[in-house]
Amino acid sequence: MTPTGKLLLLSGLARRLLAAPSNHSLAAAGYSNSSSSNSSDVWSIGEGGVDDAGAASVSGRRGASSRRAGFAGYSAADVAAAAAASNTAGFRSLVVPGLTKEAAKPPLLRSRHPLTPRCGRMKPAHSSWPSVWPTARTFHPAAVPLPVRQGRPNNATENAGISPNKWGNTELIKVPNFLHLTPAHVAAHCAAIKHLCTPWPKALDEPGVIDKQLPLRVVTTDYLRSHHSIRDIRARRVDLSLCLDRLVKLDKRSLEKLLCLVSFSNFAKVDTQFVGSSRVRHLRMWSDRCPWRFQNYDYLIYALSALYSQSLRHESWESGKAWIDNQRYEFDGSSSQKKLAKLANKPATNAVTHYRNALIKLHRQPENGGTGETHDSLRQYGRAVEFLLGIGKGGGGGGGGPVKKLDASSAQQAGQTKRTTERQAAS
Amino acid sequence: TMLPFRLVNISQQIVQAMGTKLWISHQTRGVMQVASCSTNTLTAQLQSSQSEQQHREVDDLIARMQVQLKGHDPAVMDSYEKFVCMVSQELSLPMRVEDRNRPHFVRLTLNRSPFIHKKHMRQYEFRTYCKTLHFSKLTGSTASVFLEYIQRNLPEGMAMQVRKERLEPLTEFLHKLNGEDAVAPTDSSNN
Repeated sequence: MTPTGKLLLLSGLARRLLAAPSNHSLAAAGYSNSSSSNSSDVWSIGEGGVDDAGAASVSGRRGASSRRAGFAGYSAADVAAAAAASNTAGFRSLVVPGLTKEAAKPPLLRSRHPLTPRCGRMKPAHSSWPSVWPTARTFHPAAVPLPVRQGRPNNATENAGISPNKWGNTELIKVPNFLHLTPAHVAAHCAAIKHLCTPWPKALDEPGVIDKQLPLRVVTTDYLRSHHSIRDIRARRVDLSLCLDRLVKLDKRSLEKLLCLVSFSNFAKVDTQFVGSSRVRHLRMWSDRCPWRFQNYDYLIYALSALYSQSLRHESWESGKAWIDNQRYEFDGSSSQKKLAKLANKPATNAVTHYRNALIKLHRQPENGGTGETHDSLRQYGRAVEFLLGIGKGGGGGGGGPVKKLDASSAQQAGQTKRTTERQAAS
Repeated sequence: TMLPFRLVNISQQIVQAMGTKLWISHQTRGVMQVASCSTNTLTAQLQSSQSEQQHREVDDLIARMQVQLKGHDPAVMDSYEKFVCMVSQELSLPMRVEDRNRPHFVRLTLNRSPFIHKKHMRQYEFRTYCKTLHFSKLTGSTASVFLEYIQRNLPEGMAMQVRKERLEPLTEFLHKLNGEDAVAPTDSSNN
């Protein structure tokens, strides 16, 4: 049974319980209770007094089976006419809920969707989302015409097992939304600011131009976070790097002096890279000793200028530099070279060369061209020493080496030192 | 080589474009005068005094720029990355995204009860997600415009670090030590 039908039934029941109206005019018209005793008559209108009042147009279809159908048979015009007729005759106008049109009452509770959801009423041709949502805004369920859901129910009974909708959903309010940064927004914003951008100069893309014209590389970092202060102490740091090939006047001695000065500083270093076979050196400096970024930058420029100018100057007292002050291992002047001179059997030149190369490879670090102490370099050094002294496996087959077989006669000779031979010669 | 010239007041224009109020007022600094260097402060002072009206400032040249984003919500970070992608496409800046897809965890194991019951503890963790956007070969103006726009739209709860590698010529003093003439990109009319 429809709600309307239910209402009709209830009203009908109420009317049954009520006493017949003691209206003189009704009585005069011949309206009597007897007509109401007929159950079907309660539902039909055109019975009794109404008919007697002369509303002949009203026709009643009575039937116990079609109680509700009796109402379906009456048109609204008929009802209105009957009501009007009964009024004019002095009767109360019959109001049938669901059929008689009453003055609309204001609703007690404001419903969220009085008509249809807003997304059904929007006209796409006339609405522009950037004008509806221009800036960052907390999510508002009525303003956003999307059926968004957020969250997960704990079990199948909570909210019928589906995610909660957008109305009063705090999770949707808490999370940052990007409704103000849709493609339409971004296109409009970028179109407005694009004229402020400048293009990268094409001339700088040619090889070698940047290395020659713009060799200094200055690195700065900015920090941005939600904090009570926009300052960040790390932002003061400035890094500067420069390829040493660009400092044209650095000869071997100046370069060594520069490397020495850099090794004394705690804010600079020289990185060596091997690009193929060639060695590329970069001077890297950093400064965070001053509180402001531009001060640190100025300090680094000053330090670079001082380093370069001082490394080009050669003082007279620099000639007193000892072998131990060398930046990298040098064979000339080393104790190994001195010990070679003391050897009884003067070794051949190529043996000395092998020995020298092995020592350089062993002592020098990779950035200076050596390998440092590795298994290979140690083995190579051992073999070079054996070759130099004429001992070991390599000594037997080597060409032109100071090889001497150890037999009885030569053992005695080998055992003799220079002094003993001189004594023998003298005697 | 002629380097680009630009003197702009970028903040105001961006604000007008976005239709928001100017609640941060700052001018973009950092358009270095090429020939000035602190070692020769007198020259620099002279130049700056002359150049207020006549001299046009030279734009920065940024070889590389890395924008590192940190946050606790990966969904918000992904949305922001999409936004920055859109902006870089509109402004025609090639961008590369580096994402380790693994957050940094800070874990705490604390007592559940204020007194005794040491066997029962609670564990908390903070997750920090990190994303790096790589750019190369920008001018200072372009970088300022781009950064200001994306920084104004940085969502709450996210942090950003911007690392710029700026290219600069040698200073006049260094050129002199090199035995070269200092090549000034400004016109001869400046002298």
